[in-house]
Amino acid sequence: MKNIASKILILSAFSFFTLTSCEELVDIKPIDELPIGDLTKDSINVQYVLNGAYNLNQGMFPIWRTAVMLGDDFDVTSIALKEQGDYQFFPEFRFGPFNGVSDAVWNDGYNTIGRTNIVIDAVEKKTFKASQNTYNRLKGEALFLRATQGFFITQIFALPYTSSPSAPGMVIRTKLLTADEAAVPVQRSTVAETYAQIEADLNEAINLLPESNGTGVNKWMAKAFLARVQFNKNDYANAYATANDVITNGGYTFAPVEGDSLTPSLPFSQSITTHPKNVGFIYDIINIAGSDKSGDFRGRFYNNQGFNANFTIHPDVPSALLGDTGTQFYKQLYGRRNNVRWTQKYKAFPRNIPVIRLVEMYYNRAEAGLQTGTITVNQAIDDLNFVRNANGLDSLVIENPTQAVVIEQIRNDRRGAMIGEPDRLFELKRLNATVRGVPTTDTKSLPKLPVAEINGNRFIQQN
Amino acid sequence: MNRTITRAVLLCLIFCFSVTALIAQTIKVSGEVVSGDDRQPIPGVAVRIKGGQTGTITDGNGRFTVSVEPGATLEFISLGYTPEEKLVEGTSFLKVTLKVEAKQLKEVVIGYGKQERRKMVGSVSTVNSKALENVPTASFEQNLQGRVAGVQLSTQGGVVGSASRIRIRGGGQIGGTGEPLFVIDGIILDQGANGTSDYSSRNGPGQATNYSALSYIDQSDIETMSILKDASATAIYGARGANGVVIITTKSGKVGKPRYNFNVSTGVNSATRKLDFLNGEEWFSLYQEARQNDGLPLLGPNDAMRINDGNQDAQIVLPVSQFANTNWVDQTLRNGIIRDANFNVSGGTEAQTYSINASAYQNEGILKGNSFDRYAVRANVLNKGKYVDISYNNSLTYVKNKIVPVSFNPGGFGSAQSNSLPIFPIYNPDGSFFGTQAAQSFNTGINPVAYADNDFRQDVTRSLNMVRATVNFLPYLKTSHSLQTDLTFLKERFYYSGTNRYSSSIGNNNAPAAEREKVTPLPGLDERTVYAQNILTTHQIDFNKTFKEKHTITATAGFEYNYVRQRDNGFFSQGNNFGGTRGQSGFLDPRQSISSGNIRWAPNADSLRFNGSAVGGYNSVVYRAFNSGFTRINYDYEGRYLLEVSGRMDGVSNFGPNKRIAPFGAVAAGWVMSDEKFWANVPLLNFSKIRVSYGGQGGPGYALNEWNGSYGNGGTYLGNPILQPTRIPNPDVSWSTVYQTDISWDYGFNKSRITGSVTWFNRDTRNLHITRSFQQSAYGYAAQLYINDPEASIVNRGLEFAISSINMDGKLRWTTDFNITYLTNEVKSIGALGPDAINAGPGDARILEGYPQGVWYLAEYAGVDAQTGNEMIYDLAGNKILATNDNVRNNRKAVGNPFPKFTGGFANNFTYKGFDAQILFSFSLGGQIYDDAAKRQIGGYSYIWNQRRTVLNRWQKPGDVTDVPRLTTNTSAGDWNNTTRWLYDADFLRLRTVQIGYTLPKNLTTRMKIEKLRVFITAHNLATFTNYPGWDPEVTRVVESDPQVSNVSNGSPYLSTPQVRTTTIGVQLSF
Repeated sequence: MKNIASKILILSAFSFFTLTSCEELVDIKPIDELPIGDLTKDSINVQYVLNGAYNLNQGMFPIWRTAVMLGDDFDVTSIALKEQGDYQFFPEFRFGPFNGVSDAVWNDGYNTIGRTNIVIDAVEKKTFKASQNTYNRLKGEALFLRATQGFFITQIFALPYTSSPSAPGMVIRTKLLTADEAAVPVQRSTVAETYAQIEADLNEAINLLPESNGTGVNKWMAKAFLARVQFNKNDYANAYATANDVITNGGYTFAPVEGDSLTPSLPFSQSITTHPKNVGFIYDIINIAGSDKSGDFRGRFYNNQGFNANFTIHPDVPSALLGDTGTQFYKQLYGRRNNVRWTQKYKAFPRNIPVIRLVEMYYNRAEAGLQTGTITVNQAIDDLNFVRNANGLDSLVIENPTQAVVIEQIRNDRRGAMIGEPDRLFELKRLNATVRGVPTTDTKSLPKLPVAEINGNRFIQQN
Repeated sequence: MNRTITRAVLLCLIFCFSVTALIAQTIKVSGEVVSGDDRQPIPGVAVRIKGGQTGTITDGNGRFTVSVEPGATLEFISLGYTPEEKLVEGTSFLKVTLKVEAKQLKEVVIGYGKQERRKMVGSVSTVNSKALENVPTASFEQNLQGRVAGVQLSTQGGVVGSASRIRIRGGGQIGGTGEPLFVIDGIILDQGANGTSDYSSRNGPGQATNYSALSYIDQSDIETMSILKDASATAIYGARGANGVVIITTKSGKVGKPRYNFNVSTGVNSATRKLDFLNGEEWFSLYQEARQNDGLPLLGPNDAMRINDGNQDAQIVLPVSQFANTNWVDQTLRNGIIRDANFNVSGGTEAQTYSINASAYQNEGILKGNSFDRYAVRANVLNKGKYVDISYNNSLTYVKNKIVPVSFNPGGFGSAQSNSLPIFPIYNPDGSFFGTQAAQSFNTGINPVAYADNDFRQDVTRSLNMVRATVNFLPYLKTSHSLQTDLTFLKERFYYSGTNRYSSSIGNNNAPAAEREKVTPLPGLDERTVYAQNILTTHQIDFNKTFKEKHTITATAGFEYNYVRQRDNGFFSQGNNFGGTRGQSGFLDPRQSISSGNIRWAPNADSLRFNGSAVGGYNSVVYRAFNSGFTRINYDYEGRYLLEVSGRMDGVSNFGPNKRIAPFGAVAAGWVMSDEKFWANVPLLNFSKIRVSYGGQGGPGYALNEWNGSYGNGGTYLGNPILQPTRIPNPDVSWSTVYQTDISWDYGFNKSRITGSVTWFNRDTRNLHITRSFQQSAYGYAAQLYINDPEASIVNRGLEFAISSINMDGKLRWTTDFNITYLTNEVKSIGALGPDAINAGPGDARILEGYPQGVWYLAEYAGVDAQTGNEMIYDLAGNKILATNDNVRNNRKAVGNPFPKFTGGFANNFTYKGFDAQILFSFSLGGQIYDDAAKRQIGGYSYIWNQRRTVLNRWQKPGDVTDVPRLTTNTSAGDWNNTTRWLYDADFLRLRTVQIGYTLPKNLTTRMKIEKLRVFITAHNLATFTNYPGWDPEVTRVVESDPQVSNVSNGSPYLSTPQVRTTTIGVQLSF
């Protein structure tokens, strides 16, 4: 018996020291989940992650809607506020952190950025095998998407670069974070730092992207966007050069208006999934059967009077901007009812919706060229007239044009051509204008950072 | 130690017996030894002749016979009792009463061993079987309330078998469960997401209730419960010890003849309270008033009313002429019958003792359709060998639990007090149920009477088993080796009757022509089986030796491996369980048997859309493993200076790979001042001990795979797949750590007739495990992150005071136990997290720095504007402003405290002749409750819910001064109106248990050839004194499957139920 007992004792002591130090007994691999480490081991998976970023970037209606309502094209007082939930805060800029409209801009924007960071991280670490061209393309597309979302977030949540470069900009996120890193509070960078990051991303994308790229973004889209960014900084020299490059070398033309049999010749009449260069669209929200991002956009954009994606043009928008009834500018309107004008440019046709288009490059080139003295007033007027003619408007004849007069005319034409588009907000901010009595240089004009951001960092600088 | 004494005594006795035979000229003396505590016979008492060497032991009835010389003195010795001497003076029958030894001397069960209370340095309270006897609770842990300092218990109300929420020394956990660890005969019960796993479905009709896994254990099996509170006592449970530990020891046999015990009782359950709701007429008149206020035309006698209940697309159309007056609360409540019978036989010899239990418990509860039946058997056997002792404890329980929906689950008591309007009749004029088929649309769950046609049940078989071999190498050295298993097999069957689940094809031209214009009953069936295994093996070495008669070292070291696995599988009828239009539901043909083979698509299903299988299925597995080494070393010098070091090294599979293994430990010291020589002159205070402990233990938080990153499908873009991360990996996910300091004074006055302790404690929970938000900008694609937040800390501080006294000890024996705990809970730090970051949702409870955890974040109610009748709040600057959704959200501040400042209990026990009485009060002071349903039941949902009668005080005309605003048919305020208006004091004093018994006189029972016959009456939850206007101040929200909700929002009950008041009568019979 004692023999047995001592054996048990020895066995117990041995087991004690071996088993308690044995980590394998508690190292149980999950058997019911896909390990995240496998996500970027394969180039096709990385493409699928990027698809998610595109999907969000293309689901742009929150940006569009917020930008339009923050601007002055939209008669925000005309809607029945009680019925419209978060829309009620726009007329008097009474924003709170719970505002669902601007909240979506922030959330979708960073959701896109988060996904692009996975792709960029995978390419940089070469977690998957692919050709250098594939690496370049994936990273270039991701950088483009990151930069565009950054630009929209900054335009909606930050003061203008032209007035307040050292004001709080976006929370710059350029890295794939671990959980512990994500929990560390990060403050907002300045507007200047934000713009620098956006430009750096776009410049790198331009170097990496191919000339054409199916449904994905290409070099010219990145250049056009860079021109927009530079122009909004009043960086006229670079804005002129980049816009001129896009116009001269990008190969984009306007669609032959009369040839489009599908629709009364509206500006937004693109119906082709890939990016043809003859319709004046540079980067657009794509519609294809069964995956209609633009249809989704229209369906969720502001509804009024029972029509999808219609809204009232503010009475202060001068009629002269839109020309007479035969022009393309005018045709952006649905019509007049009780002396009220409505847009129809987002009317429910299954069409692509342009995010950046050729007209903007012409206006940017004309104004930036004039501001820097790179071009003459007549060259600027030529740019204006080129757009006017393509849209069915007569050429402008200006007697003794001065720079100031022509710049004024460019800005008027710009508003008419792109009425109801986010470009108007960008212009108002660039020019430090006032909307509904509130200067765009005042933080009151800005939506609040959403509660989802504050939750992780209550010390973040709120608007 | 215990065993050594017993053996010494027995050896002595054997020797004595052999000598007795040789002595002549003696007289025979017989007698009975009873306990001074309860006047019950004590078996196994050593009866010795003083100065001699002869003696005997008492039998199972406490009886003895011994031969002595006249004039001899007999000594009566039994562990746990003060020895007694009796002079034999010609009497042939002696009645001896042994006093229970001062509590400090008793042995107490602690983690992996026992300790003499006198030498203990940890904070451990005990509750013995007396507290559980003949108390009609379904689950034993409910009897901790009011009995133990530092333990706060709240319930889910009247659902029989539902779980309680137990907090030992306050809260402190957020993402991990805050429930203590339960250990039954060495079996560490698994703590699932909610605490102690009950394995119930979290998305069925019982979703709003957590069932108590502890209710599967028969409370009559329990001998003692030890509640381990401080670091010193809990450190040996390492990563699972932070919330405190409750150790349950089941009954074991005692040496002696078989002792049979029958215990039978029966009684009735009723609700502790009924809130008053509007009757049909009142409801309609207020509804008309609301219409008038809103400028809507009043409904005439020929109009019909259209109700949209807001949650579903339910459209009930009821002509005013058919309005009824139904009291739905009465329709769902009842007086339920409770029956309890148990049988125990125990006894044994020196070589083997046994205790065998069998019991049947049937409890109907107060909610119609709800019942809980438990049938249990247990055998505990101990074989003592020369070197090796083998013990085996086996139990098998079967539970049949009929579930009813409550709270937010449609159709039950929650519906009865909300969307079941009093104007609704139970039946349509044609005799069918109102609000079901007649609605010709979705079932609404608004007719609780119709809902009773459903049948939701759980069948549970649970078996707890322990086999242990103890090898006694030397008197001071032994090892023990055990295997413990806890096996649960659970089957859930949810049968949705065709009364409540149906499909309408009216207006559906795609339906087969024969089915058009028909309402088709669609019974549904969901079944789920769970097999859960919890297997442990424990091996330990115990050393206990005194050196030079002064230095005693007691040491325990061991290792333990624990593997838990839960497998689920089930099938369900496809489609919405509430039925639906266009036949999109799988259904069970009512004419056929209830089996999955008979589930098919509804006859009116659109064949183009619904051509797959009508039966869905699933399976899942959850597993965790713990690998641990533990130790505890005690040193004492003459029992006066005490030192203890204890700890555990734990490896836990559910923690992240970087933090899987960690040490936990505690140190403690004690000084028994009263053993010092100088103490001899201290009057009255005969016992005084100071003890101090400090240490750290782990807080649980091990939902499966929290550490593991994963990814999945995220839809498509232009027809191409999207992949996205679904969980951010965090290899650092691990335990939270509770650092606890405990300073206690144990005292005994007047020869320990008054005993007790005073304790100050400080529990600092750091590195909190949280499911928390991070800045949206960090990822965007994942809303939440599992993290141990290094900046988060919650501190619970408090004072515990306990006193037990023997007030009278003559013919009338009167004892009192009183305890009170003062507690503060404060979130010391929460880093940069914003106020809504840990938004557990319900009741706007939050984690805010500088406030108690679960503090409410509400706008301050400013009453009703007497001119307009509008509800007002104070803005943050103190101005009265209109209560709108926006204003309420933007003017919130921290208010209230879900942790009562004082909790405690007051128990008195009396025995006089054959009578005995036990009276227990429990109380709570200084806490608040946010009545999350009141905002809808008092005006907020006046159009779609029934209302409490308080609403009759509403504002009606300018100048009215009232707290209830003007009525409106706009129900949106019922959703956003989170103000202090619904925050109430939750103070209460509750008469929890009253038991009165009468034991028949001995001479009578002896004639009946039985040992004891006692009759008793017990009342549970007899009376409650409170100003809380809701259902019950003790009923809180415990029901969520997410422990974070339970840890943060527990003070915000929603559509709760009252508690159960039970009165039983019974008989106890022993022979």
